[in-house]
Amino acid sequence: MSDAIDTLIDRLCEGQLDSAEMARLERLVSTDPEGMKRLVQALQMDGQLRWEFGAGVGEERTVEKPSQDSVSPLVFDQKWKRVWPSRPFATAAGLLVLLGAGLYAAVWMGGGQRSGVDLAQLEQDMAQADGHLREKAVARFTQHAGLDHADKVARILNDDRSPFVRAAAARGLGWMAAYDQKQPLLRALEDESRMVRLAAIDAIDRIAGVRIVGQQSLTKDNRQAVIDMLEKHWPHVQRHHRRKAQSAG
Amino acid sequence: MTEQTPNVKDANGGDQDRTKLFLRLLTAHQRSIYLYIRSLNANPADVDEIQQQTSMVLWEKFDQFEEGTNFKAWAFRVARYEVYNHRSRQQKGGVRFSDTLLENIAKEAESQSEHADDRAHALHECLGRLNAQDRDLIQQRFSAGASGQAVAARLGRSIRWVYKAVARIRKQLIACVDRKMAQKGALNT
Repeated sequence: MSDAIDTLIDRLCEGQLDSAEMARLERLVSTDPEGMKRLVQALQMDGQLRWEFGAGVGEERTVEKPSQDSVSPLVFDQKWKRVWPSRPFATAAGLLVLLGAGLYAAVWMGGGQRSGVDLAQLEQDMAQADGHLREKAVARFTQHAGLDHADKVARILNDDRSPFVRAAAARGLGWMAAYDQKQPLLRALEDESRMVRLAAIDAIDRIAGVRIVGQQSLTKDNRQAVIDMLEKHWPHVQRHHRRKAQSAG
Repeated sequence: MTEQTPNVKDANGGDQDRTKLFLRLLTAHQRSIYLYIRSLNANPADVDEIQQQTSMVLWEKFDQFEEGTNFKAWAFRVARYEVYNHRSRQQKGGVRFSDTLLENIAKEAESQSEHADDRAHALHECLGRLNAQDRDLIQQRFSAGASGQAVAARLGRSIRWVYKAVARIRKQLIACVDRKMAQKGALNT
């Protein structure tokens, strides 16, 4: 019976199951708790792989010309356009487009807390073998460290073996507004992990004020065009941040 | 250049703290919500749309959410409701789980999601241990827009070969994740 369930689960995950097979699968798992567990594990693994490699939401994100003077990006994807073709941006739907795409500048950048945190300890944690610990340490470190520490975070983005840690590093560079870390962030747009690519986009959004709207999908095919556009725009971003730093100083 | 978040402010009646809280919670649980919705849908093509709708409803109803209570449990309830809504909007046809099976899957999925973060970390270690050919196949199969047919054509293999190989690798990954979770559990006890 176990083999029969597994065969049906495989067919389900590939979208090949017909109605009769679905009825059979249901009968089998309804009397077999272990079979039910395997069914859910298989569906969740299918979801994990879709999430990780890009078949899930968010991959069809697009980039257009940067806005003049906003740090907050408008993020859109083709699927949202399909669902809500006529809603204006200033609706909850518009907001949720932003949310669905990930993180947002105003949440983490406003506070600028820089006190009471043992950065040396966090740096030690960032070098530990445990990926979970490294991820948390990177996230905390980038919320509290100054721009003079951005190189360390960029190295982690390039070198860490865990995509969770690399994604935390990419997001962190966004939190730090690390405008001198363009190259590591652009490289991260080509990371094998979708999670890292999305984190890099979020970081670039925050730093550059890039509007990600609906003209070109950020796909493997046109990624280079997007990178070229960002390369062109980046000197303006750097000038802006430097001016801002000077006026603050 | 100033820090402007016009949409955030407008959509949330100006309550920035509440918006921040929502963003944090949604971001933290996005993956779990996606996996939960995937578990409840026989057709993976429906998952994206249901997740988007779920996010929308979560935001619209966020004033009902009490800080300090379990956001993920609340999000799962909303997601399950949206799965039913989606089913009722769809034309008949295509395979779908019966309501009874869906409820049973939901219970099992909620139980499995308790260790979602640990499992995700374990999966990444397991993906790293796949041989190059298997890893490449998985990456191609699960890339955006990829179909089994397209992958088979690219590799010069039959579609049946692709399905069998993907199923084998999926089982291998599940077993690997289970082993790692068991090791972690053993270490923690």
